[in-house]
Amino acid sequence: MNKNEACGRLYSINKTRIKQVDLQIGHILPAIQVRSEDITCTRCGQRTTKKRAALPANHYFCPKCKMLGRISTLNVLYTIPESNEFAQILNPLTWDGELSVFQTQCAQDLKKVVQRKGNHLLWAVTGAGKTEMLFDALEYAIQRKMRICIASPRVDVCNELFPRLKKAFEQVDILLLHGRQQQKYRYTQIVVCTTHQLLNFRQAFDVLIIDEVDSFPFVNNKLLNHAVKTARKKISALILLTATPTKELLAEVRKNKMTFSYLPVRYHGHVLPFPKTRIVREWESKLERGKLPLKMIKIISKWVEEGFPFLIFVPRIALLEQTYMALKKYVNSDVRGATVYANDPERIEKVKKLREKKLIFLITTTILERGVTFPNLNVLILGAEDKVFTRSALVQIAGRVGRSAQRPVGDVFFLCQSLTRSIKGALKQISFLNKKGRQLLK
Amino acid sequence: MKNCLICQQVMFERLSFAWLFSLKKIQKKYICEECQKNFVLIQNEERCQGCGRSQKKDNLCYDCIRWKRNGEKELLKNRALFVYNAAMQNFMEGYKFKGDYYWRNVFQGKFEQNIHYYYNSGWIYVPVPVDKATLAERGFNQVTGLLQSLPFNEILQMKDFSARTKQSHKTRKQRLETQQPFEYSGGDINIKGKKVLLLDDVYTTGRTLYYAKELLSTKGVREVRSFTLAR
Ligand SMILES: [Zn+2]
Ligand SMILES: [Zn+2]
Ligand SMILES: [Zn+2]
Repeated sequence: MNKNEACGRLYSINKTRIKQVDLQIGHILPAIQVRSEDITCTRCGQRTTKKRAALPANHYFCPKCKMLGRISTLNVLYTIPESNEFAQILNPLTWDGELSVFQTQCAQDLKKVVQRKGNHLLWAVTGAGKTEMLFDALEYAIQRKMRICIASPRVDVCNELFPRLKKAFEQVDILLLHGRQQQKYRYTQIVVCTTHQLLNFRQAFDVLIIDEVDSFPFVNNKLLNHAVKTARKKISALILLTATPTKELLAEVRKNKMTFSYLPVRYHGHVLPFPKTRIVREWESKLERGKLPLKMIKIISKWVEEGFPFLIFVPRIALLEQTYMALKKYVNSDVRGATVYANDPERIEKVKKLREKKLIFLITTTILERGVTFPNLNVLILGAEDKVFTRSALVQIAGRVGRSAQRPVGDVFFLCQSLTRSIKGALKQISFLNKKGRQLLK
Repeated sequence: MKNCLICQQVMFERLSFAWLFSLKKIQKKYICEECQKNFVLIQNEERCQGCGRSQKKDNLCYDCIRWKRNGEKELLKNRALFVYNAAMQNFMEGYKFKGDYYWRNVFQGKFEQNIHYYYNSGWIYVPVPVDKATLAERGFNQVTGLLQSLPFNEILQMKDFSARTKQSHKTRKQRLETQQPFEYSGGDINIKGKKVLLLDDVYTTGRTLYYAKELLSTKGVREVRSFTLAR
C-alpha cells in the first residue's frame, strides 16, 4: 500500500492483511460497529438493521455506502493524519479574467472565510459566476499549503468545474473523483469530487466547498452532514454555494452558525427572468388524446417564429413521447426536436445537437435543470404542479434562461393545473432576489 | 413502502381483493415488476439438452457437440433458470462483485424450488466452491447464498492458487492434473454409486463444471448433472 492513499483518508483493508500497514504513522478504526439490534458504519455513519447487513458467520457489511466499495466486519479502516505535503507555489492563479464589482465583493467575503476558518453560505443566482468568485480564496489557501476540496452532489457539476479549475490553477495538482469515472486516487492539493466521495476522507481538508449544496439527492442531509463533518479538519473553512437555499440553511444563518453573503445579480449585470404562470386544466387527459393546451401552442408558435431554441419540461419519462408526438402536429416538420431523459444513452449527443442548432427543442424530465446552459434559450414546464418540481427545481429551471450577455432576457413559462406551494415559493424567491438585485444595480 | 433492491424505486404493494379473503401470506417482494420483467426464464422445450442454453430447438448446441467430440461421453444436462442477459449480468455485479449478500433473496426461493421440483430425491447437492482469497474478501459463496433449506454437501474445494499456476516442467499428464482447479474435501462421505447435482450461479463455458464432474467421476460417482441460476 502507498502511504499517500491513507493520508487524510479511510483506507479499507482486509483483516487478514492487517500486518501490511504501518501503525507508527497511522492507526486503525473498526469499519462497522455491531450492536444488539443494528449496525453503524464508520465510513458513512448510517445505521442498518442486522437482517439487511448480514453476511454469513456473524459478519456484517454496510449497504448504505456500498457504491464506494463494500466495507464489512471483514475489513478495518486504516488512516494516516493529513500531512499537507505540497509544493510551495507563490503565484498559483493563472486566470486573467475580471470580476464584476458585485463579484469582487463576494470574492473578498470568501477569502476572509478561509482566513478565519469559518462557515459560510454564499447565495448567488444561477449565472452569477460563482466559480470565479472562489479564485481569490483558493489562491490564498494554495499559497499556504492548505488542502482543498470542492464537492458537489451532482456529477455533471464536478465535470464542469474540473477543467475550469485546472485552467485557473495550472501549476496545482487537481484530482477529479467520482463513481462514474475511473481516475485512480492519488494525493493532490485540490480534490474535485461528488459529495459521496467525501466519505472516504477523514479530517483532510482545510477548505471544503460544497457547490449546489441544495441538490443533494433525496435531500438526505444526514449522510451529507456526516460526510462534511468527517472530511474537513476540526479547524477548517466550510463554504456552501447555492442558487436556491433551503429553509434549513437559511435558519442556520439566522442562528449565526454561518456567515452569509448573497449575489442577486448575474455576471452580465441583469436579474433573473421572471416566470409567467398559465393555468392549464386537464392537460394530461388532453395529451392522452394527442392534444396540447391552447395556451401552450400559442407560446410555442411565437418561439418557433423567433427562431430561438427551447426546452419543455414534463414531470415523468412516460409523458415525453406523448408530448413530442402532440407537439409535432402543431409545428412544421422542419422544426426539429427530440426527447431526452436522465439515463438516455444519447443524452449528451442530443444536448450537443441543440447547442449546434441541429435541433430547435428538447422535451425533457428535470435532469437538464442544472449545469446545462445554452444561449438564447426559452423554457416551459408542462405540469409544473407535479411534486417533482420542487421550489428549488423550479428556480433552477428558470435559471436556464437569459444566461448570455447578448440576450440576458428570455421566456419562462410554468403551465400548471393550479398554483402549488412550490410554484408560489419559487416565484417569491425570484421576486425577492430580483428586488434586491435592482436595488444593487441602481 | 419499500424500495426495489435493483433500481431503488419505491414499490407499492398491490393487494388484490381476493387476497384479503385468502389465508395466504404476502409474497415478499425484493424487486419491482419492471426489473422482474428484465429477467428472462428459459423455457423447457426451447433449450439445449446439454447446457441448458435458451434456443429455438431442443437439440444439442454447437458448444455441447464440441464437448462430445472432445470425448465427453455424458454431458452435464445442465438446467438453467434464466438467460444470462444484461439484467442478469447487472444482478451478478451487485450480488457477487459489489458483495451485497442481501440480494440473494431475489432468487433464493425460485432457485431452491426448482431444484426440488426437478431433482427431488436420490441426489447429493454439491455447490461449486469459491477460492479462499475471494471468500476472505467477499465473505460468502454466491451459490450457497442462493440456498436456504436445501441440504447441501461442500465436498469440493479450490486448490491453492500456487498449485494451480506453476505449470512449467511438467509432463502432459501432470499438466492436465494441475489444470484441474478442484480437490476433493468430502472426507469419508460415501458418494460411490451416487448421483450428484452440481450447483452454480452461471454456466458460461462449462469448463469448470466439467472439471468438477471429472473429479467426482474418479471418486466413483455414478452420474453428475448440473443446475445453474443462469446460462
Ligand atoms: Zn456505510
Ligand atoms: Zn426495480
Ligand atoms: Zn449446449
